[in-house]
Amino acid sequence: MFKGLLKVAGDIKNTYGRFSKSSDGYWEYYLKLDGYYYDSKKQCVMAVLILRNKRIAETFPLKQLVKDRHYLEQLHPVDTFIIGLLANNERNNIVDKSCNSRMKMRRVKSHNCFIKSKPILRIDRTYEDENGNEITVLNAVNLGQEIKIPTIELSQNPALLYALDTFQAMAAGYGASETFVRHNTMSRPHGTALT
Amino acid sequence: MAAATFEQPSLNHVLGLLLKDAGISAAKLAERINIPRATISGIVSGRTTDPRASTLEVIAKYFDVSVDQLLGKQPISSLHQKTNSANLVSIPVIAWDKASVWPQVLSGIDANTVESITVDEAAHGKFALKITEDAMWPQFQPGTTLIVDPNKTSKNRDFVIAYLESNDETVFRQLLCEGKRRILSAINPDFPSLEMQENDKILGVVIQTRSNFST
Repeated sequence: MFKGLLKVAGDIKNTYGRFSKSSDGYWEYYLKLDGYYYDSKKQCVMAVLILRNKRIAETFPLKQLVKDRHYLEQLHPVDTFIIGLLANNERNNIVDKSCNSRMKMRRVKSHNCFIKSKPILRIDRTYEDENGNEITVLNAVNLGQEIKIPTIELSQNPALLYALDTFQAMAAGYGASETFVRHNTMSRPHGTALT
Repeated sequence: MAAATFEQPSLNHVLGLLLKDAGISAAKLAERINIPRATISGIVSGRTTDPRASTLEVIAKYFDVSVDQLLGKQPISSLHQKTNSANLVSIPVIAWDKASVWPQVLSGIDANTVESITVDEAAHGKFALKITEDAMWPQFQPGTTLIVDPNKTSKNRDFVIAYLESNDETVFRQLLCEGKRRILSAINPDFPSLEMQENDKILGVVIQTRSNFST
């Protein structure tokens, strides 16, 4: 079904050039994470993806979405960070069951930036500090400088996520969730820092 | 907003390193560039944080660096390499099928023929492995280097390297302890969880991961 929709999107972009490479060399993320909810029948978390600027949406089990690199690479790093966070939470049975239908879906904040550009930060290494917090060391490619930040705090720094590669942002989401789980401090529903 | 720490060295730190690198004292520098000794001492000690531009220019010219580099706004590549190399040690990147016999591998290793990476801490007895499979994707992508500490005691939720005797296989998984059961869990949902048997053993705990572009 959704692949059919992507074909439609492909036709649109071929016709109008909306998603094709723009004149200044940039590309666009043409999918967007709209929200997520818990499907009590399937007993899994569902992610709702929309096609940017179109009224087309489709739901996927999160477990299925995290395996699909084709879709993931069309999502903004902030979206993939949230997906990583949610996926690892679900893996550890930490699920917000209050949003148990599409109608009660938790919406993800809309980030207007949809231009895909070359990442200017990259995750150089990760390690655990003495308190068991995962620390991420980001490398500013062009400056030769490093930023050390607890992975969990990346959720409060969307600007840093913007500068990451989509898959690295997703890995950071997993790392942030892991710190949550280890400290057992899930005082608020998952993903709310960015929603 | 969370705190992100930029590792920008201060002026006195940079000047201290330059002096050390050149092997001269603050007094000698003052004499050579014809600036009062107290001025240089003040900068090196950190008492003077905002010296005159003319002073900075003379010091920068003497050490053949830019004023921005002296102020720590830009790295000094040669100095960076020299100052860091003192604390760096090399550890070998070994093959997965050799990980189960890592003590023999480490003792018989030829440093010139084996791939190695540098780490910034005392790494005696540690080794590294490169991820080749998708079991821990997307948190750990293929190509990522894992630095393993075989002497660290593993605990619940640690990422570990384990040897499974029944399959004669070494795997990278997350250790989950449920009572007496020890389960090796993959991040990728396609890979099933494995329960550790009596003869299976943990070879080490992953203490650091490095992305494949930095070795």
